[in-house]
Amino acid sequence: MTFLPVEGSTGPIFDLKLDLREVQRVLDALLSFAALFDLDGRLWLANEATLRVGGFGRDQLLGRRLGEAPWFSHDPSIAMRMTEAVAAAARGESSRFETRALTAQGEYLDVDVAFELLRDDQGNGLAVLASATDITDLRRKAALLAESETLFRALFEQASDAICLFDPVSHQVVLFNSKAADVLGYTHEEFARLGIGDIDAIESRTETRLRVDRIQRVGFSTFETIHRRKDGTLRDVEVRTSLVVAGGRELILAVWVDISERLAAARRLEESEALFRGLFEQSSDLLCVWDPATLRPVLFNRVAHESLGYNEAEFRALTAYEIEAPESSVTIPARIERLRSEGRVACNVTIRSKLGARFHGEVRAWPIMLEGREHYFSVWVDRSARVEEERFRLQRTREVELVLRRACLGEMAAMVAHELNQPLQAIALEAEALGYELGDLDGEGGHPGVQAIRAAVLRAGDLIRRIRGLVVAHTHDAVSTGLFCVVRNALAMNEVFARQHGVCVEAELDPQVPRVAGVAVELEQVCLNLLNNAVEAAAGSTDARCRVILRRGSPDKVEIVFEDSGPGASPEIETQLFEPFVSAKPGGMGMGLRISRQIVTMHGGTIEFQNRSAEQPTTVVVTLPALAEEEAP
Amino acid sequence: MDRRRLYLVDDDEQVRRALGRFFSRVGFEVRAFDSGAGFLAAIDALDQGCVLLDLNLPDGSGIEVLRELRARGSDLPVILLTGYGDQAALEEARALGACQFLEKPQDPQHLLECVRTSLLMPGEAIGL
Repeated sequence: MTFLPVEGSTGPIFDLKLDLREVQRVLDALLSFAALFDLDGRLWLANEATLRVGGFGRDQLLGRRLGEAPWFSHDPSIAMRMTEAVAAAARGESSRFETRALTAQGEYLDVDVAFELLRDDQGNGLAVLASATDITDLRRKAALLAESETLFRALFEQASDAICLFDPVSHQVVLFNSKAADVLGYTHEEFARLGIGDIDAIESRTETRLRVDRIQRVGFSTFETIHRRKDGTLRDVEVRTSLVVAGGRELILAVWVDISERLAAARRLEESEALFRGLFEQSSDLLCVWDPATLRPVLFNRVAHESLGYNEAEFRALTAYEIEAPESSVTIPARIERLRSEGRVACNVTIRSKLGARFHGEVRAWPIMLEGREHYFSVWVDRSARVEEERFRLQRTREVELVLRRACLGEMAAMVAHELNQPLQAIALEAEALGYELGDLDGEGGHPGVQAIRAAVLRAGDLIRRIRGLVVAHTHDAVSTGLFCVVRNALAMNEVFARQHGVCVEAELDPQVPRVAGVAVELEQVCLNLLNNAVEAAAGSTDARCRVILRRGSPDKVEIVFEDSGPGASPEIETQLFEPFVSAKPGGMGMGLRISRQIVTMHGGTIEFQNRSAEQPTTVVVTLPALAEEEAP
Repeated sequence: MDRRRLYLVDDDEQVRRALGRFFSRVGFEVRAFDSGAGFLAAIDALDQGCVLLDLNLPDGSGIEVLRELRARGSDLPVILLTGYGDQAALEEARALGACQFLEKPQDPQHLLECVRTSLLMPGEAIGL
């Protein structure tokens, strides 16, 4: 520690009865800057802190005015102010202000400076005490604080989430951002008057209190609830709360986001997932998702394992190589190769059941992502069954067509026979009578001409009978027949026809109806006739719709009802519907209904036409006698 | 020469006239009708003779006429004539006591024989 007075300095200080060493020590102990000036304004004493920050030796500073000191000489206006402040203090005018000083390291310091006149017991000025405090950090912190507050305010106001502070006791709103009021449809003023109970639509006051208690205890809580908007509509929200202390007061900070859309999307996703799961499970094709590394099925529908005779666990343990028969058209590695290069593959594949039965089909496969990893999805369609089914349907359609053709031919033959037999009979009788006129009174032997006519007529009659016998010679071998299959087969045969006519055919078939004694192919012909008629009638109508109902009629009857949305039959057609060669359809032969009635009559049933009315659509009802339960096989 | 009565019921005029001419020529008293209703309106339960009845009539089936006839208590012998055979109608006719069920065209002599036989043995049914 060095000591003043500096050699050669003069002034009132020498008159002080102070221990200058003590003064120096006191000043040096200060962290603040301190210096003493004589009343002339010249530096007389400066503490360690001042010299250190100045970076100068004591000798360089003593005797200088404050404005000349290197801390302030960088700025003439500051320099002048400092010198004047010392002079003013010497005159008894204390001052204090903030200014800027330059350190020896070239840094600026913000300083809080004060100037005070030191007086003796009589009040005479002795020296000016200049002290300064470094407030650079303080200023920086204040600036940061102000910046941070602006930032916080902006964040608070501009946040996309609704933010609100609640009083934990009254549950009233204390502070909130615009979003909070906006999302609930309130103005700023209205929202400021609300409490938690006005906002939460499901929580009781007790529940709110318990929740607030918990937040106060634990510090935070995140939950989902429902908020009621001003207009009464409800919104699903997720609320994040935490306990905050502001101005020495505990508050509940709540931030909420509207999750209604997210929940709705989640619900839609769930529905869609359920739908696809349903489709997956109920598909009649074999659906599998394969692990590409092991080639084992990781996901599959019930048909996949059941149709091959495996239980779920057994099937899961198999590899593609064990499920497929080696005769498949493209080998598994070749297929995987193609799947990788082309993104999908379709080829014929033969698979085998647990017991070794082989099924021919077609597989289509493509890559899918499952749990973030690529897998293969395959659909195997049984072609053997489909081919068989197609073959059966074609055969059945031919048989049904044959029934119609034969019936048409029979009907025409009967008509022709009837029409020809009448004049033939007349010819025979007239010839016979003529014979009598010619003198052949007893008719025995008769006139040769009459004999010839008689023989020719009988030959013609016989010929007609034989021709008719050829076309109507079919036997009606009725057996116990299930009408459910009959109607379903007719629906299958009508499917393309209905689609071509743009008509929607609905079926309400009771599979439990009693069986009837009948010839399935003939009854299918009846159903197909009536279905085709209904479709043609409905085509072009506004609704374009047909309905087939199979139901139990009276206890011993089964009914097949055909309804259509068409305009119904005109009165002149209605009375002749079942006559041959009468048709409401352009180009129609007019045999369908007649033949249908013949077949139904042959089965001991009836067929009834009910024209369209205000109460009901055009309806045809076929009623057939049911077989008693014990008659049915 | 038969002077017994023969009722002809047939809607075909040609056939009706030819039957009438033939049976009149062989001595029957012929009464001809073109409908079942006309015949039923004219007939009485006590009337005698034979009926030649067409199966297909404009106002219904010959079977219905036969049924009505029997319902009135008449046991007139009835021969059913038809343009074409019908097994169901044949069975019904037989059940209603028709003597014959004949398909056109028939040899007139055979027809005459049948009518004569039916008048001798009324009510006895025989086949087609």
